[in-house]
Amino acid sequence: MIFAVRTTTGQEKNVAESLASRAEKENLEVFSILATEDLKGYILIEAANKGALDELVRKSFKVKGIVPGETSVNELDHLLTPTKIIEHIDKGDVVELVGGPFKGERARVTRVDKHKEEITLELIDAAVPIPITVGIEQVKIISKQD
Amino acid sequence: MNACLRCKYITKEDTCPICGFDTSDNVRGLLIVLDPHNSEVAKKAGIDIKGKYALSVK
Repeated sequence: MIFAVRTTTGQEKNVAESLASRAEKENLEVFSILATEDLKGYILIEAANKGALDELVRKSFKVKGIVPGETSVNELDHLLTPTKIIEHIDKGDVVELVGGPFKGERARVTRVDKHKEEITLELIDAAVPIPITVGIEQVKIISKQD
Repeated sequence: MNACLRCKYITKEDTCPICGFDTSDNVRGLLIVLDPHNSEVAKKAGIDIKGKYALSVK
């Protein structure tokens, strides 16, 4: 049984670690604890039953509440196996640079290097098309090629 | 905080204590496995050793 509990945003990993050490110390039937950046303000706790979860979060001032209901492991597929953004970028897509010296500019993708996780771009507004190579973390996809 | 590039085990060392592979500090997410035998999440993630793991390591 997997439950979600609400915590302070930004403290998910700290709360997960403190709950894990408490579960171990008190020998509770808690199997795993998941904290992810994609789910801000919540952590997911896999426990044998609701009683074990109640016991775990009882007296813990860092936990703001338990989300009613439970979830199944199939619904966590996308969290456990995050697909990389590079898999979604293709040649011809329009991206916006979100970092580096060309921040805010729009560009068209001319080449994708999946191993290095780099893409080569041509700025759309530039008078002369100069290819620039940036890391995948510096761009966000604006529109896909039709 | 580093994590193994192959098995995603979180460690402070430069090489993974479980599989001996290189580690990286570009880590996202945290999965703490307390009971790998009963945990469905651990089975789904292919983890059979208790410990802390990252969700993605680059």
